[in-house]
Amino acid sequence: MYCSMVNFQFRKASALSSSITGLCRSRKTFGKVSKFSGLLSPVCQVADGHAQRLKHQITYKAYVPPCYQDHDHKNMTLKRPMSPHLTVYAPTLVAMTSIGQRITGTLLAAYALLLSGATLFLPNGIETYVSIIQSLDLSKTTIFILKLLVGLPFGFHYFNGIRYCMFNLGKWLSLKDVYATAYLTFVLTGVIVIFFAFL
Amino acid sequence: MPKLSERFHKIIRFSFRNYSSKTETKPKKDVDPCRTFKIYRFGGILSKEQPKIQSYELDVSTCGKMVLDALIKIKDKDPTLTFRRSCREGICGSCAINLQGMNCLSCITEIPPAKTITILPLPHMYVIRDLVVDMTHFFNGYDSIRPYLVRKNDGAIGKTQLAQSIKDNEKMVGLYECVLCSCCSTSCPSYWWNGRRFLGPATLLHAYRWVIDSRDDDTEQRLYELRDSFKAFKCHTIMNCSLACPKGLHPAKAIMNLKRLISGLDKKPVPEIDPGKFKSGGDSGSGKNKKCCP
Repeated sequence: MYCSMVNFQFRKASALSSSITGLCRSRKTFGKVSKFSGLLSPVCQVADGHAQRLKHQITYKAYVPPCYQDHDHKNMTLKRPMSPHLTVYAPTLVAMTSIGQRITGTLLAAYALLLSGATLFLPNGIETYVSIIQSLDLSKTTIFILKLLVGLPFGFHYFNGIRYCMFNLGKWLSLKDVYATAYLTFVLTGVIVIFFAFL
Repeated sequence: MPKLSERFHKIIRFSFRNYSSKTETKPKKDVDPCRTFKIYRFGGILSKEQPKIQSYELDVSTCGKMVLDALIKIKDKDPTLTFRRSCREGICGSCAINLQGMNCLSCITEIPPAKTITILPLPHMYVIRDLVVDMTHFFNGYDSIRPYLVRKNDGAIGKTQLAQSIKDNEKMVGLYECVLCSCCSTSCPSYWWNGRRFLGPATLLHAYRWVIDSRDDDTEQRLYELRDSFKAFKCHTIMNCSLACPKGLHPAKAIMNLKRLISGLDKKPVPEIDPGKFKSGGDSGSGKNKKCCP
């Protein structure tokens, strides 16, 4: 039953969606092949009368370009995992000063909002709240430490801010300078904040 | 007398130490050559496994000095370990990995003197398999900055040599050496969170390289294309890129210069020599065969 030669036949060049099927004819059934239908899917009539596609017919389909997905969707559809980032990357000094700048900036904005909200909405004047804090009777050390904690964001954000402004001007950009100015920032912050905490 | 000169030498050595690099002053600890390599493993999407860290014991005295040598030795024992590598000399940029928390090229990074060595793929990239990640969006970003020379009135590029002074050529030192390994871009937290719209340090370094090339005519258009909130200005000078660059380049500085050019604070200087200097008028003489030796 199997053909010794493969014969491709093209009929009408119809729409792209139609398939061009290779026709396999066996010498035996040569004469018995029925006429082709207009849809280019010739079917071999074999001896037992059943129309069947023979195994080694090659079906060609028109090229359909893959549906475009952006990088994230494509990878998420493929279910590829994301490589670890925050949890594994070394905490470099430069990155820590940068995120520190952002965090202290947020804190300072929060201070400003709290202060203004308190001024607007809390009853009585500022003196009542000062006397409440005084009545807590905290030791000098505790007050010193609290002032230090409250003042640190100010100091750090101020000096680091100067450092970043100088970066924007194109100065202090070499790695040596970046590290040197970072240490200078820490020193200056410590000095100023401790000074103000003493007052 | 010997005591005095000895003390003198000690003082000199002490003051020299303060100015020498850190690596010379650290006393070399002898670490046992049998090390543990903890390597990120993922079998691919068809394996239906979860990513995990697998430990390998390796005697580093039996393999070369570089991390790539260790990886190849481990692959001899476990052939399923998959990683990219090509030139083994730090010029192709294929073997970028995250080693002990910092990005580097495994072929030019020595095995660190630590008992446990952690090797992970580049951060915040989709993992195809083990240490191989999908770099498509990184290269698409690079292609988007038109990394080729654009001349306005020259016709076909390549007919005549473009002139450039030595000083103008030196401006590109530290920019053209980039191998697109993406160590810098994948170390940048801003690129992690905004990688699709922010171009990243490597691409911006290349953008700057094409902007300040004195032979390029399309500066205005190049700078105009970078004028938006994300492409260049999502850089917050975190500077992780310059720390990570395995070729010793300084993307952060290049990006700052680029930002100043985009915003108009700086202007690209006029080329010292006109690049079209060697353009001969009329017949360019390309068809004539010139004799090399008289």
